[in-house]
Amino acid sequence: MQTYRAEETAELLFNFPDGLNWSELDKQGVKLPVRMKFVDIVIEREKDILLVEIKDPSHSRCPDKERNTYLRRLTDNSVLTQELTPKARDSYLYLHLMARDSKPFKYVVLLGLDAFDPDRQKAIMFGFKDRLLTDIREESFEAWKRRHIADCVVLSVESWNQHFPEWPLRREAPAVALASESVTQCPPSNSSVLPTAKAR
Amino acid sequence: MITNLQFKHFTAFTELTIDFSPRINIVIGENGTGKTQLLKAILALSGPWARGEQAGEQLARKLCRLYHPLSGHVGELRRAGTRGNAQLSAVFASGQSVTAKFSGSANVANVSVNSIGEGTPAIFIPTKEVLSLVGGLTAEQPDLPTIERIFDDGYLDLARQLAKEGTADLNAKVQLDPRFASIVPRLVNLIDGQYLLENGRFVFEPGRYVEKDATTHSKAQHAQMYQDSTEWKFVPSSKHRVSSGMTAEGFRKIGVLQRLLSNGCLNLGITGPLLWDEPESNLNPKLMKDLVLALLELARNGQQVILATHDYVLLKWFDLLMDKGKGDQVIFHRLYREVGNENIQYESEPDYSIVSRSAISNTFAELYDEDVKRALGEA
Repeated sequence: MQTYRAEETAELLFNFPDGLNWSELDKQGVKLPVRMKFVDIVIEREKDILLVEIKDPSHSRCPDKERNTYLRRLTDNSVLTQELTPKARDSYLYLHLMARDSKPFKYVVLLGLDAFDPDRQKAIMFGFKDRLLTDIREESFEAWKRRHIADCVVLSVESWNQHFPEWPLRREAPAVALASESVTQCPPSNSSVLPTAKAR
Repeated sequence: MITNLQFKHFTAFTELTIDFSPRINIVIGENGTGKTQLLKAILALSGPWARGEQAGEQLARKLCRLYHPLSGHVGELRRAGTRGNAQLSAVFASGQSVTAKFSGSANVANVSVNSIGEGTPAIFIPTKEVLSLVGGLTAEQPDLPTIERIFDDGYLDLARQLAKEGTADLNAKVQLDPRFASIVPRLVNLIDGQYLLENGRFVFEPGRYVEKDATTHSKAQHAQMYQDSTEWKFVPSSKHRVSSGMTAEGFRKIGVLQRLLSNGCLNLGITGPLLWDEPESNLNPKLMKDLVLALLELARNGQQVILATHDYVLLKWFDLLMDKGKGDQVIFHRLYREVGNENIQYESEPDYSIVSRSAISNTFAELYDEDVKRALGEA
């Protein structure tokens, strides 16, 4: 069993079984193509490849003000158009050029919304998938000719565990985060701010 | 205005007691939980049929024309498989109460009214639009037996009300009555035009309400005018009027409300409850917000509104737009069946949270789950 956090201070902790074919795409400390934005992890399944992007506005150290700002950016489409869609496109392009596109890609956006009440969560999730898929398919004045992303889903922590019970996810504050007060805990508003470290 | 309704052994209901808000009431429930039956009962008990010496026969006939029982006898409306007479009771804000009882084999109802008075008849807007049917339903020599076999009285009553000539034209009412000024321009501009009765049929006149002489006032004058009361006038955008049948069905539903306001059938603060069965049907969801704003405005001006709906968008707009500071009182009434129990249950709350327990909310959760399953190849 392997564990994964998107960054050193992240609270969302994944458990992946040893046989699972997964990898980090948004690697740290290595040279990556200039100006490309990547999803956090790639999971290859029997019939498809999941591109998984993690956003966690519910981080316990995220101040209310920042959390609410991020919530507004989630609902007004700015996170969607400025971060989620470019990450899907660049990740697809990278994997295509690396000859890792033998199966259809599914985009999984994991939103840590557990800090919000259920009504708020539903309000955010409702329609989000449709808007995201539309934006992925039509980023400019005309739609892409290739359907590079076959489909997408937007999951909460709860729905992740419902659909992927074999890859359990839980919220668990890392020891290192407790010792560090200065690390940004919220999802960066500028997606070029990359995680500082990863742990496996 | 109705304050309380009670059923015993009536149609789908074994026993039901509802207290109504004087403003907005929203009845939710799955198909077959009696929402329309409830609205029709209010219509029957509010009207002149439930009063006077012949009330027993008149009300029985009215109930039959509203519910169309197969046998044509009111007794069939008693809930099957229960003991005792069917009973319907309504209490109105005037203090008047009306009770009707009948057995399973009855042709007439036993009606008692606790005080003399004419009551305040309700207006019922059924699911399908009626505006385009008015010409046929109110023709000079209608084939009544055929019409009554096709349409229940919910449709016929509304057609007759729509066909009534108004005492003043809509434009004049908007000028004279601030209550209309806050509602009618909104309804007209929502569909970019108004419906007019011409030679017994409705036609659509394209145009919009604009602030009167807005361009001739300075900004200061304009602000003062706005503060006093905004003056509106209807400006046709074309001389070409079209048959109502040529306009969208959703537009015609808005047109019904326009017409009822303009001909005085919907007289705010005086008319009985406005009963609207599924306002959302055939309505573009984009129109829903303005429709809800108009209904809230009607209620703020003294009109009791009772809606039955399946529509999440409509409910959510009420939740978002209701303003307790403006005196909005919205009560959500939920009709439901519990697993293994055929009796219809009832609960109410002055709060949208009740919707999250309804089939409407479950359906959205189900849609979301199915979508995720399909995307991940689990379906």
